Amino acid sequence: MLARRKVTFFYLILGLLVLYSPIGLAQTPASLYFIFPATTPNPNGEITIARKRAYDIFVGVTGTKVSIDDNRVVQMETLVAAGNEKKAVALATSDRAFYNVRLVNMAKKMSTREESAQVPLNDFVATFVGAVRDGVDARQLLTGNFFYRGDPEKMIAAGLTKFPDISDGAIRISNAHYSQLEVRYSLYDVLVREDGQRVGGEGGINPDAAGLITTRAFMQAHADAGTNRRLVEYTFREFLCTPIQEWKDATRPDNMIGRDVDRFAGGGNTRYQTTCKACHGQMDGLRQAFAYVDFPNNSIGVSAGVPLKKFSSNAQIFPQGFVTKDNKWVNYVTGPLNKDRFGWRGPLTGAGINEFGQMIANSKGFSRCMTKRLFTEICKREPSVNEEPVVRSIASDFEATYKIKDLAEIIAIHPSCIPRRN
Amino acid sequence: MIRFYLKNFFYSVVLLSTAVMLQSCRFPGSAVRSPSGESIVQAPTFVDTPQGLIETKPVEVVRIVSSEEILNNLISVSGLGEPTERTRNDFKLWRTLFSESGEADSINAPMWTGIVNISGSVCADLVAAESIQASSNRRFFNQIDFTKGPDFMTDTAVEDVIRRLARSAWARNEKPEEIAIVKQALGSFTGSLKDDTKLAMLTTCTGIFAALETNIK
Repeated sequence: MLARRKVTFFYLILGLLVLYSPIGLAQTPASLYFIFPATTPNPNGEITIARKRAYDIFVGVTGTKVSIDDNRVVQMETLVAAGNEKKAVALATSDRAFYNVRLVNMAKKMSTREESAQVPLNDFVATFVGAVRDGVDARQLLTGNFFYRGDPEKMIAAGLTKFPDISDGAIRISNAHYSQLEVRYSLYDVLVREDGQRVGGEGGINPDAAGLITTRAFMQAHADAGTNRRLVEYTFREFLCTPIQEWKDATRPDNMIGRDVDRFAGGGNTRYQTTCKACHGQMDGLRQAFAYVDFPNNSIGVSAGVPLKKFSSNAQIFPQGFVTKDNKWVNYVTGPLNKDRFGWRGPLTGAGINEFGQMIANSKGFSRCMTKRLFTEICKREPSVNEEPVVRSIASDFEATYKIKDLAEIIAIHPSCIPRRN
Repeated sequence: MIRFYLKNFFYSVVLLSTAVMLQSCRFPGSAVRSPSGESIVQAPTFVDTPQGLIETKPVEVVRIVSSEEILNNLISVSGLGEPTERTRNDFKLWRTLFSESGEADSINAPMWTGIVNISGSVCADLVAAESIQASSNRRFFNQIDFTKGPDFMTDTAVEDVIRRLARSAWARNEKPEEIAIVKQALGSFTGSLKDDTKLAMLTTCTGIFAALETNIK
């Protein structure tokens, strides 16, 4: 009896040792890689209407084709057949492909000037995907002081210390960490949140972070050289889905237009009044938010409360123009059309990028833009002009939780998105 | 001899994928027909919005998979898990030819040459992986005897392969016309050389994976 107890005890201890030993807990590389599940086709399986519906939803949400006999589709079929599309679509949004394929491609198009899904993975994309995975409030995407990267602990545990490069420099002054991460890793599994966005050399933390706006990729795309106006233009373009041609308004005040804008272009004032002012009046009021940031030497540079030289370049063109003294901004994008389009909520003046990000994130325009972007990805088309009320209605539902995952679910089973097949 | 086989393989794949592609395209110009010819339910739906009820209709849109989706899709439907190094490198070579936006009018000849090549690369990996497995462990080529030549391939075995590939790549069962096209292409594979069986399966797989219907969404 005692001998049996001893044997049982021995195996119990052995089991615990294995479970908690470095071997038991070691992260194998395979668990960090993005591997598509394999399906054995069922040649004689019936393809029901519910199966087709489940398949269409899955492909729409994940952006990845699968076999009609795929286990995930079969699971969703049961729920669709029972009239529970809401639970069915939740299975699709919990799939790794939703994060590793659909969200990656969507975020890539927002991250650079090219607006292309062919660009390498970068910190903007990783932060977007990680934040959605962790259910972060979407408004924090434009206000938070955090970013996502490959988890160094997981990498080291898996023996992957060289590729991707997990060094501090690979994060601060190059995109190497992210471009190497893309080759075969599952972002869903490997990303980890880090608080405090990195700026400048070693140890620098951004004092005025604004989520995706102040990621290295977005700054590299829009703060490198130039006059930082592009940061305003592309913030509106990517997060409010509105190119400047649509929000320009020559009736707005021009008191904040910089000295580098010619008031007498072509010899007269007419062109300035009708064309230049329409963009610069509003854009220059907002660009003050970026008075302290630049992108020198491949990393984000932040000045200590002194406007950068780029804000006073070409000052001789119109010396009476606005002189940037600090990072206080004013939102003049408030003409009747723009007021309705963007639906501002909260202060229309502020200081710095974070407050600017808050204004964008809290607007109705941001919710509508996220809706339009996901609608375009999942439904394979942009919402038509006639569908603006639909977009507004979905955006309003999205604001109940501000979770991108919930938004994808609402859109995928919305009557105007994926047609039902017979 | 090798050159003859490669030439034979190339022509077979191009003809097969083109034929299957055209077969997929044989549907009326209406945007509400899917490529497989199924009708789409177009009943208008009323959506309650803050502006009142508005009528909305889902629109069936057919787009070419974008450059970033092509390889993912092929790996996903083939069940290979992840691409081999060789396939990744092939993809890098061809990816700039693929459509970024997915618009139907972005299809062109170089792009489709690229799709045939990537499909061929994925299929080569698939055939290589399955041909060394016991037939009961295979997912696509269960009834194919890779130790014998194409003369030993039965109609039933070929039809089983086509069915399995079609359900994976097209999410539907194949049509009789499609079986006929594939079988016709396989007609040029005869003899008792076991490598020709692999080549025949490579042709079948590439023809189906490179077809239009596999590469639309």
